Amino acid sequence: MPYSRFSTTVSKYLARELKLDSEREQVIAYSLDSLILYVVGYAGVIAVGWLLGIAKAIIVTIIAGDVLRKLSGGAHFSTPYRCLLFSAVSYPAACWASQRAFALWGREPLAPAVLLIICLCCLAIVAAFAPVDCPAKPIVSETFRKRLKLLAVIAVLAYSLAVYLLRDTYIAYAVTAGMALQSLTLLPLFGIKRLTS
Amino acid sequence: MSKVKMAVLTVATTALLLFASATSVFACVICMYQPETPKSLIR
Repeated sequence: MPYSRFSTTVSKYLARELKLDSEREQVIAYSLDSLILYVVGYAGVIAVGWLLGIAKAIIVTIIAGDVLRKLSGGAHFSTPYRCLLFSAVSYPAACWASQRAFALWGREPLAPAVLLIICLCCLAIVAAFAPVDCPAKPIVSETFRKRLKLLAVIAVLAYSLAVYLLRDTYIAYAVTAGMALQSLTLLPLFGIKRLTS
Repeated sequence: MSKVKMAVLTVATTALLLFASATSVFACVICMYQPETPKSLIR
């Protein structure tokens, strides 16, 4: 059973009541599973960020990471629980580290240069590896693949511009954390786990 | 089935189908886990 019991039950009910075919029923179950994971994932990460006292920064970090992920793909876990656990730890940890860096070194003259170097590293990783698909959602079309790569590179460039313009604020550091964390999931190092999942 | 129930179920189903369709334009949907994507949504 590829979907959760709740999603399967609801989709079966809707398909029966509205007389939908099995393909539509599967799409509804997929949609529900995605929606639930999305809401729970965001809520978990924001809750941990709130407990750490970085609620506003964590929202910026997860949005930055998530938007880039939509375009670049990345490594996946084999179960939703591992995904939720990893997200609830990694995003707050990266965001917390970025906010500590801002507090400690945000006024240093070299700080913008360090942010720029991180942005360039992200750009290089995204340009080299994006999009990274997974067996659960393979990217078949070569045109679609090229389009995603282009959009992912544009997203990193847009983030880099935002980081430069907002370099004296916590937002620049939070965006950099989200972008860097997401870029790291594109590395082939994590691909081994993805393919064996 | 009453008309109201029919309307509510239709709206809910349409919203879910639209959400599922919207995910097909992205490389993946969720942060670190991807539910098995129906073949009709694979591009």
